[in-house]
Amino acid sequence: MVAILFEGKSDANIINKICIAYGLPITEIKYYNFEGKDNIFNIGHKYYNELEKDVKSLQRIDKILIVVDADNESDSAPYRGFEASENKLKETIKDLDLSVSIDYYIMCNTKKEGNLESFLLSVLDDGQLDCIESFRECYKYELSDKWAYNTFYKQKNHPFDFNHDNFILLKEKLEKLFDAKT
Amino acid sequence: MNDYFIKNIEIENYKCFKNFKADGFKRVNLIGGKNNSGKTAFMEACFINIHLNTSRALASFITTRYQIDLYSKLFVEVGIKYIYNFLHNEAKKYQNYSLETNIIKKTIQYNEDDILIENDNTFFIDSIKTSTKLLEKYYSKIIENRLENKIDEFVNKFDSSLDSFRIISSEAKCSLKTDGKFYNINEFGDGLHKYVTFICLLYGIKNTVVFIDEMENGIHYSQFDDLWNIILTISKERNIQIFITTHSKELIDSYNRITKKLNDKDTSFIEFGKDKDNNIKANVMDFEEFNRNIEIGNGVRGW
Repeated sequence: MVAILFEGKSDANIINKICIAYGLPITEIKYYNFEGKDNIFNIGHKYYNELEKDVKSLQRIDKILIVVDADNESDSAPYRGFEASENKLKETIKDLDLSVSIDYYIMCNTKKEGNLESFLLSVLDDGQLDCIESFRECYKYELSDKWAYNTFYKQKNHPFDFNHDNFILLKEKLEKLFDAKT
Repeated sequence: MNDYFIKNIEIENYKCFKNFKADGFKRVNLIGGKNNSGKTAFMEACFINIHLNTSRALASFITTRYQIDLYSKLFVEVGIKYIYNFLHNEAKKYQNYSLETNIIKKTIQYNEDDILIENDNTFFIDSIKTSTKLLEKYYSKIIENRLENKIDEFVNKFDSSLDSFRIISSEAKCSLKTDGKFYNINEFGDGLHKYVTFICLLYGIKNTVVFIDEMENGIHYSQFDDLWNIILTISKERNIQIFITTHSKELIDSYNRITKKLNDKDTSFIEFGKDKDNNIKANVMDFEEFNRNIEIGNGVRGW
């Protein structure tokens, strides 16, 4: 069994859809909803105790993937932006002291900014993107990627091509979780 | 939580357990796991630790577990010697293992000379059965405790056209509101019979620990929510600790739904699995951890 850690429930839904699309054995995945990026970066958090129990005592987890949003450098909270997130992830993985392989994936757009929603929107075709941009320009006030996703795509059959080039790295990392050799 | 409830257990060399430890048990505990993962053996160990003190009781327990009907034609024909040898051989398997809970530390020693056959399975139940004899036995406790009205309330809750439940001349009967007459409970279907049996069992005991193996057997999933409501309510009211095993996803989901609805945090879910060396392990989840796992869609029926 493998573990996937993420920030919130919406990540779980999307990751589950992606895993199904790639034909991965989803019953062999245990999801850990850390309810926020700061909790993922806090190795003393109680959810890490559950993970430690699963890895060390119950021996049910063989590999771990941590998924976080990059967010934007301009955000006021700590460890925001791709680079800061990556550095903190590396530090967290080192400090965790778990005897299984731990990898990470950072959700962002092609400019290495944003979150899960930015990542998804990055694979939309130009027509769809233009449409969102036109709306944003017309509306004048700032509208986030989360807003665009929740408004236009959340309730619909998703139009995201999980085999788009932007998904290659995530696909590799997910498949690696189930690769017995690694 | 009450002092006589099992909070933790250590089991050494009993059936599939070599060196097993678990803690964090609550008032109501639902147990999931694959076949052969040790769910029932775990309950047996807890049961023996709490309820059995003599090899006589041990023999009685074995009789019940193997559903040996001592008065059946077969046993009369093969003779008492066969039964004695069978019990003796089975009981030997149960000796020299160590059980330690927060309540008592016990090493079972079986004494051959002490064997005497009795039949009392009040506290360990292999699924809820519909037997008028069993129901009569449970209902006698209800009469003793003057709780007939409570049972009537539940019967009415189950089906609003029903008025009351009674055992009349060793026959289980329910009366209809419309004509006030009593009809045999079997005329209303198996579901009602099982319900009444279960409620009478719970209302006939208090301040104790009870074990139910594969509770969902023969009960339609649409009744699970009501069943959990009853279990959670009565166990609290009468200080009964309950351990229940299941294979049913619907029963687990229903447990999650109703514990959440009642905000009953004195509940746990125990998931059985095996580590890399094939040792049996239990993951005891409290109310919150269990909720989180169900909400996110994680499987909890063993690994």
